[in-house]
Amino acid sequence: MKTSKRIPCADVRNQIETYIDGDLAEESIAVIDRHVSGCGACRREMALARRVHTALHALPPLDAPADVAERVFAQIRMERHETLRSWLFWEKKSWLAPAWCALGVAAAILLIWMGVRMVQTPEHIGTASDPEAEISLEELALAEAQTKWALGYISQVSRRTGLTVRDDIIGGRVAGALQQNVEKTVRP
Amino acid sequence: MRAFKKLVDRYQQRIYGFSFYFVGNREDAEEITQNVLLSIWRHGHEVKPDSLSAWIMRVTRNACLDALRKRQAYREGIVAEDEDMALADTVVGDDNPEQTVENAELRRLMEEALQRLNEPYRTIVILREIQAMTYEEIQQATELRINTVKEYLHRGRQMLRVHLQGISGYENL
Repeated sequence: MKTSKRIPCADVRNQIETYIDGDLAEESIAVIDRHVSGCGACRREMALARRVHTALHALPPLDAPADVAERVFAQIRMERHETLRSWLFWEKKSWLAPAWCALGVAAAILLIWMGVRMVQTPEHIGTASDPEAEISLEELALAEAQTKWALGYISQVSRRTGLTVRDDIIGGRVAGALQQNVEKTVRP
Repeated sequence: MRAFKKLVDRYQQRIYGFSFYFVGNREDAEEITQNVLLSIWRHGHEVKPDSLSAWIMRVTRNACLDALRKRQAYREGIVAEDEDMALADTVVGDDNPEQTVENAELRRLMEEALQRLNEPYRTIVILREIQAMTYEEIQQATELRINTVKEYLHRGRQMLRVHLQGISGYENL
């Protein structure tokens, strides 16, 4: 009992947590041990502190439900889709979406190039039977068909992914224009 | 996307666990976890790799505080009954039914006591005692000095003892 009076209860209680964490110097541990062995109140406090410590460590870390991550991935997919959509369909109903503008410009350049080339060198347009010709009518027809198929494929893919495809743009402004221009150039 | 999925695998448990013990209910914890993961997706690349873990915990803690402010649950310390059951279900290796009940009760008390802790004690107690983070990790996450972290941890546990003594059922501890 004498040793328990060497240190006040308040000091012991202030050091209980450090004691439990094992951060006290050996001398201090001995002092507290002596006090606690002779002081019922501090002994109970120490016991409670140990239980709190143990109970906290026993709390499970907990797994997040699997659908939390799934919801996040779904949200990201949706945001990406929206980004793509806004990029492709600038202001939604406007056919001046950047992607279609780029496609239209590319098609126009192709047509101009083909037209100029054919106007300048009509003798180079021949038939498949003419091996000297640079471009045959069959090749032009094939190129036209391939271009139309490619544009149609873009339309299908976009529709499958849920994008509202402007068929009238592809058909009327791009594919149709391409076809007419080529036909006009080849068969003036 | 693959790198992000790895981050999700690595951190979602920590985020959810922290959030659950911080806000005290599953629905909020799920929503917080979801929002924090989205923040990682949107802003994680802006953070230096060595600081990512601490940044995530700061974002999580802020999200928890926001959730508490929004729902005004801070003072109420609501713990739904089904959460107790959920926790009881997570007990591993308790073959003794009485022990299982006692453990579940103990967890309920601890959760309730945790809800009564003020900041930053609650954060530090959860990070250190439940999530077993190192003092260095906590220092980075809280931007406090290690000695301060230790001091707050000890005070936090002291406060938990005081709170436990004020909770009905503590006598059975």
